[in-house]
Amino acid sequence: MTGASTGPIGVLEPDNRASRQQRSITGEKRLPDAQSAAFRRRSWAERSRGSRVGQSAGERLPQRARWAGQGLSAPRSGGLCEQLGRDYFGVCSEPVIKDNVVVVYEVLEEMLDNGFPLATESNILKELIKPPTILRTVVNTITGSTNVGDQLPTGQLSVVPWRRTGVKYTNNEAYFDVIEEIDAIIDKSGSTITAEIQGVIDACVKLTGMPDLTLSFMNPRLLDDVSFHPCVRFKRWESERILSFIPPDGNFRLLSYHVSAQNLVAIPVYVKHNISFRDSSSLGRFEITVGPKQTMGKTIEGVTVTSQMPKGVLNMSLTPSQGTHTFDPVTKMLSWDVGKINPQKPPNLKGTMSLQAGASKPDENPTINLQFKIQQLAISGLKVNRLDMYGEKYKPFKGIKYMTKAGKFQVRT
Amino acid sequence: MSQVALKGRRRPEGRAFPRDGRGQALLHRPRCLLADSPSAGLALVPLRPQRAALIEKSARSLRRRTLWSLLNPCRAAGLASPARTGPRSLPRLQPASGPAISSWAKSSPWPPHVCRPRLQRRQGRLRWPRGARVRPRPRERRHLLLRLQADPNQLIRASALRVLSSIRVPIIVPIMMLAIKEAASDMSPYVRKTAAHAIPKLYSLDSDQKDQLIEVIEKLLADKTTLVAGSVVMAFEEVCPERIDLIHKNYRKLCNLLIDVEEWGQVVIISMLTRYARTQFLSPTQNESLLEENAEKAFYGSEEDEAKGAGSEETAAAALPARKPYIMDPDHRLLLRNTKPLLQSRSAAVVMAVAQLYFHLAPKAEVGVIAKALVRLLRSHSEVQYVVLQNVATMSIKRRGMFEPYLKSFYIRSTDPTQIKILKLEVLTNLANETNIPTVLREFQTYIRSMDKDFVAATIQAIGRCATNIGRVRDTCLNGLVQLLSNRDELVVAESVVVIKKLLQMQPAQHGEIIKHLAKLTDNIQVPMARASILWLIGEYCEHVPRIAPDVLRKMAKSFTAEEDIVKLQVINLAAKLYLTNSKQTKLLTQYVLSLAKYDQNYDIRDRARFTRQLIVPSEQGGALSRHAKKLFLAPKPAPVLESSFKDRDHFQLGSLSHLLNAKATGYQELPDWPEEAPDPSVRNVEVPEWTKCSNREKRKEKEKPFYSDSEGESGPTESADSDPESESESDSKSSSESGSGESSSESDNEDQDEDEEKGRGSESEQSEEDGKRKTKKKVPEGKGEASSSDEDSDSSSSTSESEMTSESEEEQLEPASWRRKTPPSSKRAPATKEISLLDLEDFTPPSVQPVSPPAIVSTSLAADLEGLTLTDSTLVPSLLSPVSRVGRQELLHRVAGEGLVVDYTFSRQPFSGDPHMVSVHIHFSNSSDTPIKGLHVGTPKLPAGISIQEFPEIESLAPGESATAVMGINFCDSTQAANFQLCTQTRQFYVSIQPPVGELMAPVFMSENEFKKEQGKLMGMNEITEKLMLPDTCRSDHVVVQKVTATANLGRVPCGTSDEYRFAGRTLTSGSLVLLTLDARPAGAAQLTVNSEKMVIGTMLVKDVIQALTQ
Repeated sequence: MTGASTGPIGVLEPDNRASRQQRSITGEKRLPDAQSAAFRRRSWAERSRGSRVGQSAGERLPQRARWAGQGLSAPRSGGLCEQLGRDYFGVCSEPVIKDNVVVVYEVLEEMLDNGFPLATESNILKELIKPPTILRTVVNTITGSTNVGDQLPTGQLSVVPWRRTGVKYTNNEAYFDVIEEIDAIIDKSGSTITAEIQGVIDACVKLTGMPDLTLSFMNPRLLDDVSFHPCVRFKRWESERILSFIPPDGNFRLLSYHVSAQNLVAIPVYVKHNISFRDSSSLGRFEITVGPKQTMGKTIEGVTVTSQMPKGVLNMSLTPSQGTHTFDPVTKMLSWDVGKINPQKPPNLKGTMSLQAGASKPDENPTINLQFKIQQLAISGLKVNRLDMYGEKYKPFKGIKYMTKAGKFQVRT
Repeated sequence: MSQVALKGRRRPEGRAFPRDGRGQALLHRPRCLLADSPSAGLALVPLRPQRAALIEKSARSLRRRTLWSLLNPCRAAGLASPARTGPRSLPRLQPASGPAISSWAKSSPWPPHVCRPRLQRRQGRLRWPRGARVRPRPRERRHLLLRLQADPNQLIRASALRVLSSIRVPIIVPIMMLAIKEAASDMSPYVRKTAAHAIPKLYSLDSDQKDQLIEVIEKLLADKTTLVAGSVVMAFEEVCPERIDLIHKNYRKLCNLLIDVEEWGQVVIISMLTRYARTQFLSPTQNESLLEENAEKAFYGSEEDEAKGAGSEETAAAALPARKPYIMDPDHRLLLRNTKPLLQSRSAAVVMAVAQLYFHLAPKAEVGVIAKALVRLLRSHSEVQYVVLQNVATMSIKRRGMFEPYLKSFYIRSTDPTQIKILKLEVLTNLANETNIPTVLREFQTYIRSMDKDFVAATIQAIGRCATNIGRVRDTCLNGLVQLLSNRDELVVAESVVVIKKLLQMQPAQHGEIIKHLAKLTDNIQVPMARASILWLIGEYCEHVPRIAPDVLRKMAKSFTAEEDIVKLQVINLAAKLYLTNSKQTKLLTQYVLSLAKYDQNYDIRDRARFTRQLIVPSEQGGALSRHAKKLFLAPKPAPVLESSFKDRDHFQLGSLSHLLNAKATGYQELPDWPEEAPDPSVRNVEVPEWTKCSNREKRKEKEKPFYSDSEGESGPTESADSDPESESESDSKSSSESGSGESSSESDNEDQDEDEEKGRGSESEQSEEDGKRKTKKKVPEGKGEASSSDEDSDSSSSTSESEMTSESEEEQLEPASWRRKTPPSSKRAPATKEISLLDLEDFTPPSVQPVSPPAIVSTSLAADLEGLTLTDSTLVPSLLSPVSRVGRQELLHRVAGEGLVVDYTFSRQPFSGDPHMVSVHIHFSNSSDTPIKGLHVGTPKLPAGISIQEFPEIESLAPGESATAVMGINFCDSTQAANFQLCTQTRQFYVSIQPPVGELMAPVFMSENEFKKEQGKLMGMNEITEKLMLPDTCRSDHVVVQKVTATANLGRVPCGTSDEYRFAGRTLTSGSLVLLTLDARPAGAAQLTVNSEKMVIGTMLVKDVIQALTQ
């Protein structure tokens, strides 16, 4: 029980971090596999939990489909199977499954017994069935061994089933990403109808041994509703509002939280729009301006505006002041990739729509969906206070990153 | 592996073994040389000792059906041949026997791996004979698998059982049974888990084995490792869900283990426990009116509330002696308390399971806690959303209040899939009430302009439902719907007509105009349902439109042949009604219509025409009926009730597939109704293992008092109850010695973890030792049985007395909290029955079957039970989660002074996000004038020194009747001076001031009792203010005191050792100096209030305020 390090977390600048990442990629170049850092980075952000809701055990879907189907059939939903697919092969797509049908089968075998889930924790599965790597494939072909592990993973029987024992790293590092998404509906006049913040803390922990981490917040009472990775000690959170946990190895989602709508959510952007169809002519006017508002001095990046235009719109001729735009006349989807917003010169998209001749003007206005990103800012004001590690002697490298994104951000027109 | 795949493709699914006449499986291969005879001259290829892999492979190949399900999509997707992927993963068999195998592969439906002959173990290496084309007969394979079941590696033992249990051949059922039994008493929990998984497989193969399997399930249910719990309950649900009696003894253990079980297991266990609780406990909602008083506080649900809620229920019940008081069974409470943290699970399935458990089992006042978690799930993928929304829709009908605060979370986005939109609409409609209907309707208004026409139609239906449910808005809705009639989209118009028809039926007299308008629409609307609705309306209310109705009939008669059936029927109907009211004008038209209908193709229409004619046109016979035709046709009809399609879905267990489909699915277990009389609660008591008691009894007796009170607040025992060895070893020696049960559980935990052989041996001795203990323990009840007859046996009598003592102290422990003691009717009966069952031989199930029993069937489960019972660690929470200020809304600007602008403010007690030193103040604006107010902002404040304000963002415009809320932060600099500032609109400035009550100048701090005492010691003398007071009768219960204090001041509760003392701690916001408040309540209402704070002014004022709050 010695606090190996008790300093506050230094905020890691993105460029610094990128260089670290770069280094680790080059370091492991010979193994462009699921273990490699490049892969881990990619899957880290994309990772989300899969789940099965709705059926109690006794009820029968067709036996096999009962569970497996949930993950495989749900497109883009990040179901458990898909997520494992990404964990194993980097991407989960048809060709990848075809190429690795054996491994997929082996993993499914480990996951299911007679239609019931057996082991779904990725750490355990990876020990039972080793992810395919080029090196291992070569070795297997020559020596005749397989990917199948021959020992029961130690985690399975311990009280920390999510972590395997004997983890070793030369660089001990723990990164936490606080990512907040703003879900909002903005009405015609620009006032907020509903807005809430959904945040997650994704972690990438590569620490030797059995570290016991404690993460505390400056303002934990902001968090209105939380759900934890099973590793978090719930009692400790209830009594002290501190996250205390033995982390799984690698990437995982530590916490997801919700900041209630009662706290007024600062909306960092405004959208001014002027979309009008005239009854008489077959032309309509279209103008959107996106600008920053309450950004706490940070730049808004990666702004994308999409809008589903009414069926009557045949084509659009628009000129953006910045970025590029496309309009698909088949799906009637307008998308405008804005990029960074310059507060002095708010980007603007202006032009005309040509409507179906003779048809009456569409009586609905399109809704505008907005995507954006703000680095180094958690819009709810949540701040991590410190991260302490107990149980191990070394001093880990710690980093925390904040990001705000648009979730389901809609502007009604 | 890929060969397996290849073979799998060739073999048609479901093809059974080829059989001979006797039902024996025939082998394709000619019997070959037995591999282990060296004379066969086969080269032995040395293999790496990867037996697990080997067995797993043969296991897999045997269960190709799973593979099939995997391969089928591949094939459909045009996967040429999985053999492409072959060489990489099929190395082992290739070198020597390649050609042989490939030729074999062509002819046999079995992949070569399966026919692997016996594995040989020589000099510690596994060998594999090269001429391995032989496929052993099932018997041999069986032997192989059975032999592997004795393998030292648990993974191999488990895999062998998995393989064996997956062979779907009836003749090996006895062997499977044997293997399962053996594995069920295996040392490794992993193998036991596999045994549990094998049970349903065997059951589906041969259901005659049920009785034996139930024995195994019973044994495994007593297992106390988290790994096994989920699987065995799953087996229980599959094999014998009706044997609820098996659960009794394990109930408390399951409740306590629940949080540590893996997620899949949690789901199964929770749904089983829901059913169990429905059969064993009384309905908590039977005294609903009493509970409603508690609704408010329990909404901010916290464990203390729950624990104490029962107490206050009881006092409430005492106030009404006429009713039979309801007291929640402590086991029922245990279940609710232990499942609650799981609402925070990351798995949507678990959250849903807990939600349904609360919905079905919790008292009305406590169900509210699940709303937040369910709303959180709405962020998930659309599949999850769909399921959750379905359940929310059902819940929101029964418990509307629960989701009302989250109304806005159900607002619809244009990107939602249609079925989600419709479900959200359903929920919004269910939630609409008098107060929120304006917002809901405004929201609906935007939906009507959506591009998704199905959704628009559903919205119109929803508006109709709102209009019927809430009388106040009926006219508004009706007008809105009439406006929609001029919509360009026919579907929208049609839907509106249908809804208008339903609405008009409620009050037709006033709406002649609307009916006329509708009549005009018949020319344009083509949707049959809408046309039919209009015709029906005109017919029904033809008195209101006497001039138009015949004209409509004329038009319809003209186009009769071209109409849809449903319209035709209504035309006949209209004609009949008009004939009866206005026969002069319409006689000919009616006859024309009827004769057209007589020759219609549809027999329904022909029938109707004939029938109508007989009714309305008096024939020569002078039918008795035709005299009453008017009464028949124009009878007053009751208005339709528009109600939700989710209305009666709650008879299905929520979260079940059946609920989702609204139809009973196969295998659905009906959720039983609450029993009238509670079954005997003592069946859940578990025998106390003597050895735990003996070692700790002395200690415990001494400590009994502080033990309970300690566990109420301190985290020591709490953590040990987590069964987390880390924290257990961390927690100080005090707590571990306090809870002897904790010790024992950690001990046996270790036993289970040591699965490696060496360690296993080490623990074996330990286990045998324990076995010995158990034997002595077993003797105890026997001794008791004899004791009544033969007292001379000193041994048995001593053990008897001992066991009596243990049972006594056990009883005391089973009375978890003080409120339980106050329950005379039930507790009087309970001890007697308890005593019997504790010592009853019948009830005690000795582990007679197994030679080596899994560690600690009885003892450890009890240990877990005791842990659960000492778990009253709740006092911290309520103060945290109920930040309601006593100071409610206060007026900042009156309507008159503000010229229509009304401004109120509340202290939200939430941290202000910009600056931690600031008090966050919610300011509510509403515009009661009839012109919009523009540009609301804070003008230049004139503030006393030190006080600063973080202004709210400017409110651009506030339309008449609208209201808005803004948050501003004020740093009061730890003084109660008022913050004066100007509130400016575009035209006016108002001077306003906010003066904080002293209690709002602080934020709660969480500290332990020791820290509190330490800090208090530093703040003596000048910094201590003490005052005496008398507590009125109304506020002597813990809960009331805590609530009053926390409502007055924003302080956090500090756990406290003695029951009559309350401690609270906080820090002032600006300077961060500590404010410690102690309330020492003495008997008979006298109390002493002490406040320790550096800020003496704050201290004095706080004392004053708190006393005022308490004595009021």
